[in-house]
Amino acid sequence: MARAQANPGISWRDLTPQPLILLSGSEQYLASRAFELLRAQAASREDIAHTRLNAQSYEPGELLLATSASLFSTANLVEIHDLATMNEYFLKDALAYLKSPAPENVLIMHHSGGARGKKLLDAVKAAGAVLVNCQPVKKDAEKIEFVTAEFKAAKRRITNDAVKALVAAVGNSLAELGSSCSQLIQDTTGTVDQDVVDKYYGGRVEATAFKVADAAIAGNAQVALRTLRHALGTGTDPIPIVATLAMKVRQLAKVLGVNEPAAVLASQLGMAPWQVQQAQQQARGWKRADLAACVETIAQTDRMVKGGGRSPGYALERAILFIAGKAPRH
Amino acid sequence: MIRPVFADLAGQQRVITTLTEQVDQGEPTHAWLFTGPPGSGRTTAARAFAAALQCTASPAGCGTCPTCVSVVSGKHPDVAFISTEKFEYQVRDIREIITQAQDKASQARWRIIIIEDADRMSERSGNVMLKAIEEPPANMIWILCAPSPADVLVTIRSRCRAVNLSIPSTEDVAQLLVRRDGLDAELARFAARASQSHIGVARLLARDEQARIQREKVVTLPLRVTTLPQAMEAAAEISKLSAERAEHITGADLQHKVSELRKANGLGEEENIPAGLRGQFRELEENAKRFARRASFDAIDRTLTDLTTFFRDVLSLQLDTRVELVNEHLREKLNAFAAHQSREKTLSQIDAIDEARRRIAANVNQLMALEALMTRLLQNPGRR
Repeated sequence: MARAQANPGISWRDLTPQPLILLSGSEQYLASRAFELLRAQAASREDIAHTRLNAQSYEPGELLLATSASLFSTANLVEIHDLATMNEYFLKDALAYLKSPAPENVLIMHHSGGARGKKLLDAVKAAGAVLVNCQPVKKDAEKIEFVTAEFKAAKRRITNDAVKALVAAVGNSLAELGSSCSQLIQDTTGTVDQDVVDKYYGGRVEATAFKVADAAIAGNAQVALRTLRHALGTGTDPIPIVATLAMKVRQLAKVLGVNEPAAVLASQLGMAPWQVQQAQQQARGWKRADLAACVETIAQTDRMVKGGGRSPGYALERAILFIAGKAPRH
Repeated sequence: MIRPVFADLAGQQRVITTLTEQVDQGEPTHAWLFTGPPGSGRTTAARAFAAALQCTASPAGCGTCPTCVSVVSGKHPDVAFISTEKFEYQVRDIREIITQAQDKASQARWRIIIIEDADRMSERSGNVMLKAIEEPPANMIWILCAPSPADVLVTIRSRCRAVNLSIPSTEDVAQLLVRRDGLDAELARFAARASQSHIGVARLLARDEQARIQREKVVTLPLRVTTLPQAMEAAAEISKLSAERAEHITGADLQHKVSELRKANGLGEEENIPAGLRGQFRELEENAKRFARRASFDAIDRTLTDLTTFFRDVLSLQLDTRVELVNEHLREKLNAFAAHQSREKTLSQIDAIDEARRRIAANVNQLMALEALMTRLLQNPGRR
């Protein structure tokens, strides 16, 4: 299964200067932290020249220039951004450089994902590059880990409750989480506990469209409405929320009452196995006729949020109440 | 007796008589508006009329003289066929057409301009056209074509003589396909029925087996899709097919246009586009998106039309109207389907198809609209 591949590479925190470093993954924030770390490490030596290149607007010969020794430097730190949209010139020059990389240079490249430049990536890996994982952090557990590591690196203490509260408040974007950590580290003293986090980030709840949809399908109208208000209040657009509701209901409708093993269904429906399992679990107790009514309501709602109704917020509330009302009582 | 040049106009006897009279009198009105449902042969009628007007034989409209042949094949210098690929005509385009209308006829008696899609004129461009239509130069004849008189500005409508084509009968369409395209009679009848007398679609269906298979798949959907999971799958499939078709139409086209523009600006295939030129490339992409949207909408619209024929037949069986079924070949299955549900249900299913069409036109997510449609088409969503 290509989908279920493990996250490749080491964490950026363990990064040390190496001749070839490949940051792979679409999380810009992690990549920028990795670049920053190496820059800081390089700054301690005076004989290092630092160059920043962009693989998208690359002009022929730039790499050769950046990796050659000069009068003032013996080693080079070369940052290369945007490998995922690299042009042909860069591909050619990079492949040429890989044939004889200079051991005193540090070449750090960021590829955010996709098939472009696969030939180069393979060559980079074959040349023994250090792989750094910059995949987006999605699970709460990983975010908690991130916060803990941030505080550990700053030699500060934070209580477990405080970590959880912080992730719940600003965990939507990793960059925001990172800057919140550094703010707490700089602005407070002593152990950071729940009270401190509440003082800075109280009243904010991370609300994603998925949480809204999950609550609605579980029949929990109160939670769903509250999360919806938070989501709309923090700037989530109504249209993606409808899309998420539709996706959830669609998944349920596709698995409801189908007696096939999850693995078979997953390949048939083009869903990940965990999605099928989750959908099967959530579909328990639902009636097909009720789900069909929800599908119709969602189409109505999409029309309403796209100008067919006066208030997108009302349209969403109406849809959520309808879905939650149809959900089985446990 | 129908003059040969009008022979391809299936089932339009009334219109042909009017047009022939006009040709014989020799003093035709200077502006015409040909209307009729899609596939009824508006352009064919306009073309035949133009040919008959220019024809020098007696009686006019022989269909075999060099003038007739060159008009019908669109090569006559004094007969111009105009249509747009854009969503609608721009004022600039109309001005150009009007300039063209001032030219004197070079060979034949009349200068004729046929606008094949006059319904794509916005109010502004329509107003630009008004004067030119009202008082054209001597010997100049306008022929505008549109699906219905309501599709053009009322001020344009009032300055034109209206010709309304009716929906030809399936027998007329079948005969045309046999005579003109040399198709098998049985197949031609099936195609004429299945396309509901849309001549272009009928010919496609009769000629292209893939198109027949595709249509059959759509029409039998209500028979095959009986549970909620199947309905969701079917919706996803329809949506995917239409997207693929749109992509196929526009993807290759966009690539071609982009590489043309690159060449025109002296840019290599991989070279970066300078900031000053990006606007032009972006415009190409945005236009392509609009074309894609129209293509995908058209594809879904065809699918919905085919689907409607199934329920139309079911309703007609339930009401015992004894009219010819569109899907005569499915009679047995249609009968069984009709016996299992009420007339009200059938009507609500037809409503659901209309609703889906309205939703998609109102920019509702295609997949959501189709899913809602497919679940509403289920005879019984299931008790579980």
